Parts: sequence; structure tokens; C-alpha cells
Amino acid sequence: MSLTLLTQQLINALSLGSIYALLALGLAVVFSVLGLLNFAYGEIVTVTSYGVVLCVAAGAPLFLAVVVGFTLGALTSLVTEAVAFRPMRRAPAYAVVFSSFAVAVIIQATIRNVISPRPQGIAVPAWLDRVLSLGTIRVPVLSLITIAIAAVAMVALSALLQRSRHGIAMQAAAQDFQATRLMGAKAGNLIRLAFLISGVLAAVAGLLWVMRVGSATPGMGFTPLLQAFVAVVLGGLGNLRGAVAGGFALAFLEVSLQVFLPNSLVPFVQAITLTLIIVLLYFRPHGFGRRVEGRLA
Amino acid sequence: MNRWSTLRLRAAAVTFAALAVLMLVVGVVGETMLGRSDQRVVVEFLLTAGMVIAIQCFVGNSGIISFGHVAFFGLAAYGTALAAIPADVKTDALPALPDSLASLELGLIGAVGVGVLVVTVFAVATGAPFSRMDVSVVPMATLAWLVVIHAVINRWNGLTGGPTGISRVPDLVGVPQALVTVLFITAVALLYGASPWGLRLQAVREDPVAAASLGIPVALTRFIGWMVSAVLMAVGGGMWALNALAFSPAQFFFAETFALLAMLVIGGLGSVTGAVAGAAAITVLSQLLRDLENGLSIGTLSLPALPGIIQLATAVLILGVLIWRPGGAFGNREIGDLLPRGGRVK
Repeated sequence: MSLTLLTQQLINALSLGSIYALLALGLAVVFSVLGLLNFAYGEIVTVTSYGVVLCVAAGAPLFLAVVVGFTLGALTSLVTEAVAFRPMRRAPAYAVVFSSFAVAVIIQATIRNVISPRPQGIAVPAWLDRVLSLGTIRVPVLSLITIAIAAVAMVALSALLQRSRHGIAMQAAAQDFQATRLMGAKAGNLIRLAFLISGVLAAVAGLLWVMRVGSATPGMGFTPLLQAFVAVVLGGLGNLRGAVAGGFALAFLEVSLQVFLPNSLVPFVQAITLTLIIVLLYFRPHGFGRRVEGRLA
Repeated sequence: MNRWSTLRLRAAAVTFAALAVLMLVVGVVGETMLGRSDQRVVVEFLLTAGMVIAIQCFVGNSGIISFGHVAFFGLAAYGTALAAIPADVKTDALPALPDSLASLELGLIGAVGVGVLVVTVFAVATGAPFSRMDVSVVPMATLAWLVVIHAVINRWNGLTGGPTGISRVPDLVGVPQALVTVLFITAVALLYGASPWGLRLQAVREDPVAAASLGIPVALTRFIGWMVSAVLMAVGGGMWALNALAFSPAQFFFAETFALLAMLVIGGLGSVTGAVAGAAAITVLSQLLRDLENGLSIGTLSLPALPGIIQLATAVLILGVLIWRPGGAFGNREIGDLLPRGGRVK
């Protein structure tokens, strides 16, 4: 393979990895505080996408559509917390898996009935659709923007967790929830903050995702959910740096399989990726990052 | 925990007897009083109840949620159907099949046996990693496993017919066969739950560290539960295929997983009785809402189709039950425990 093609695929993997990393971060933030995975997480991506797609279709400027999408995404996360997590505070962990799963199904069925079961396309602005030519290398503008936005979001998250009072409280909660409460932090607020951060991260990822795939469907949240899970598990549960690394690792694995596998096997890329990951987890049942209790950032 | 407990065996026997009576009533009513198309619903219910019990066998005793059992369902259905479909139909519909498979033409037991064999191989391959994983990761891993199997049966056109699926499966299963199947699954599940292996798995569920300190091999115990559960799932899934006559890969994916798990959660994760009750509740709910989902017209009044209304109702029901009673309607209780002198031991 030529160097040009290699560079192009590298940028492709980096931009896909940025989205996966954001998704994984959002899932891991909640896990680090509560020790629970949110199975309605993919629906944040779905709701954000529909917000953006419908606003653009109604003729709103992109900026407004993005604001609407982000607000809806964050709200979805907070509502999930209120409906599926808060009433289950004393229930066993599996109850939350099912309750969040039920919330996901409710959101999907609602979209099917209220909007449409069919895909809703988005007219991506022309400047986003352009492809830059740097010498022989052709780079889509969207890939560069994706990488940039994801980098900004990650720096912002890191600053929030390390510099702000609430962020430090969240780090403390990841280490020892009970002790943090004894220090005066309110448990409910901490958990809501975690879901808010999670919702915003997923909304950013959702915006980039819908631009990439070009349409919104009721069941679209499933793939981002699964990729976020895989990335988080690869990086070691509750380890935010691991989650980012896991996201990039997953994207590189997928893109390289797509490039190097013979054409007849390309439809099976996802199946092969997941099988490889299950095999990897057989040898490293706890993922590759250290399972760090309490190191958030 | 190394010997069979007579107390537990007796409790299991009482529960089995009670459930058997209920199922027999359903079966006899279905066989004698209903037409052929309603009988299919009865068969579907009995086999679905059997598959929910099969899932309960692992999920209930281990406390680990599996999204992957529907993959076993699909593998068993395809394995059984491919072994049972007459050779001339197969050469016509699936010309790319290898000769050994294309000429295979087995009866009920043989065909289901093929399905069980296929599932056993894959259950060993998945059980080995899953039983060692961190418990909070297993649901994700089983979900990944479901996606893998769905992708393979959806895209391997030469073997499975691809997205359009398989048709002209011989009609070998009626109410009597389904009844025997579900009674068999119930018996094995109750026996397993009362056995030393089932008891050990329950101990691991409650406290893995304490269980390990008592000398219980945690991974092996989970593995055995996974295998028993997968094989029972295969029996139910294989029989299902011989009643369904035609099916496609889409039927072995998310919606089915959600439906089966909903039955389990609503009835109660820890109980075989709960699995049956949940299956009954969701079957009735789906039958009631079916017309609404497809759009209804009464005289001049016509309601629009409401896609996914059954799923929506099921999801709301799950949330309600979990908030009301996180353990599901029956919790850890069996029907035998509710009968006088049932010998409650848990």
C-alpha cells in the first residue's frame, strides 16, 4: 500500500477513534462514580442526532441546531438518571441494567411512533463535505474537525475534573463515594453532575456521528453504545485514560481490518473485531489499563 | 455443598409438579379446543417459556445478565432447520450448501440434536472466556457475542440464505411435542438449581470471594451453569424452528432478546416459576396489542399503525415492576414455596 493511502487511512482512524474516545469517556464517567453501566447511553446519541437533523430540516442555522441537539442530549442523560437509576439506588446491580435498557427501548419506540421508523437524512453543509488536497493526500474536512472538536472536549473535561471544585469532588467520589459524602458533598448532586458530563460528551460524539453517517434512525444508538462498551472494557473499567486509549485502539483495529482484509470478508469486519476482542478479554479479563480505583483524570 | 440435598430435591419436585399441572392444562386446552393457527400461538408460548427458563438457569443462579442467549436460539434454529429440510428443497433454495449438509434429512430428534450439537460447540467457546471475566463486563461481552452471530447468519448467504432467511422447514412440532419439551426443560432447570453445582453457583452469586474461600472453583461453576443453560436454550430453539416453518436472522436479535429478558425480569430472575409467569404475561400482552400495532379499523374508525407499541408497553411494564419490586413478581420464590407444606428452603 502506498504511503498516501496509509496516511489517509491513519487520519480516518484518528477521526473515528476521536468519536469512540468521546463515547467511551461519557460511559466511563458514570461508571467511575456509580460502578454501573448505562444501557440507555446510545439513546443520547440518537436524541442528539434527531435534534440536529430535524432542526436543519426545518431550516434552522447549524449553530442553533447544534445547541438544540446538545440540550436534548444532556436532558436525555439526566432523565435516564431520574427514571432508571435514582429509584434503583438500593436495588441489585442487574436491576439497573434492565431499567436503563427499558428506558432505551421507550425512547426508540417513541421516536418510531412520533417521528418515523424510517431514516431521516441530514443535508450536511457543503463546507463540511469538502475534501482538502495536501499534495497527493486527500483529507475530508469533517475528519479534521472531528479530531479538533474531540481534542477540545477532552481538554475541557480534564480541566473540569482537575481544577473545579465539583470536578475534584467527582474524582473523590470515584475513589470512595461514602467518604466523599462525609466530607459534605451531596450524593445526588454528584451523580447528576456525572450524568450531565456523560450526556454532553455523548452529545458531542452524537453530533460528529450523525455528520459522519448522514442520517438518523430510531435504532442508531446501538452501535455507539457497543463501541463505547468495548472501548471502556479494553481500557479497564473506571479508568478514563484507558477509555480514551481503548476508543482509539478499537478504531485502529476496525480501520486496519477494513483495509487489509480481502473484500469477501469486509462485511464481517464488526463480527471479526468483536470476536478478536472477546478472545483478548479471555487472556486479559480486566482489560489492558490498570483497573484504577479512583483515578479519574 | 458437595452432596445432593433431599430437602432441595423435594422442593424442586413439588414445584415441578405444580408447574407441570399448569402447563398440561394449557396444552390440553390448546390441543383439544383451538384451531391450528391458535395452536401455533400455544406452541410458541410453551417453547418461549422453555427458553426463558433456560436463560433463568444461568442468569438467575449466577446473577450475571446475558444478552447472548438469543445467539444460541438462532444457532439452534438454523442448525435444526438445515438438518430437517428435505434435500430437494435445500438444493433448490440453498445451492451453495456443502454436499454433506445438503443431503442431510433428519427427523425431529435428529434435527434438534444437530442444533444442540452446534450450540454446544459455541457454548464451550464462549463460556471459557465469559466465565473468567469481570462480572460487570459480561453483559457487554454477551451483547458483542449476539452481534457477532447475528452478523454471521445475516451475511453468510450460502449457508443461511442471508437476510431473507429460511423457509419450508418441515412442520414437525405440535402442542404435544412442545409440551414434552417445556416439561423437560423445566425438570432439568429445577434439578440443576437444586444440584450441588446450582447451589455453588448461587453461592458465587451472593459472594464470589467468600465462595472461592470455601474452595468453590468460581470460573468452572459459572461455566457449568452457562453450558446447562445454553443446551436447554438449544432444545427450545430447535423445537421452535420446527413450529415456525420460516424465519429470518432479524428474529434472533435485539427485539427477541428484549422480549425474553423482559419475561424473565417481570416474573423474577431467581425463580423458574417467575420465568413461566413472565412468559405468560408478555405473551398475553403481545396478543392483546398485536392489532393495535398493525393498525386497527372498527367500522369507519381506523387507528393508525403504532410500530413498536408492544415493546413500549413491555418496557414500561419492566420499569414499573422493577420500581415496585426489584426482584420481579416472584423474586426468588418458586410456586412450590407458596403451596402449603412445599418445603421452602431458600
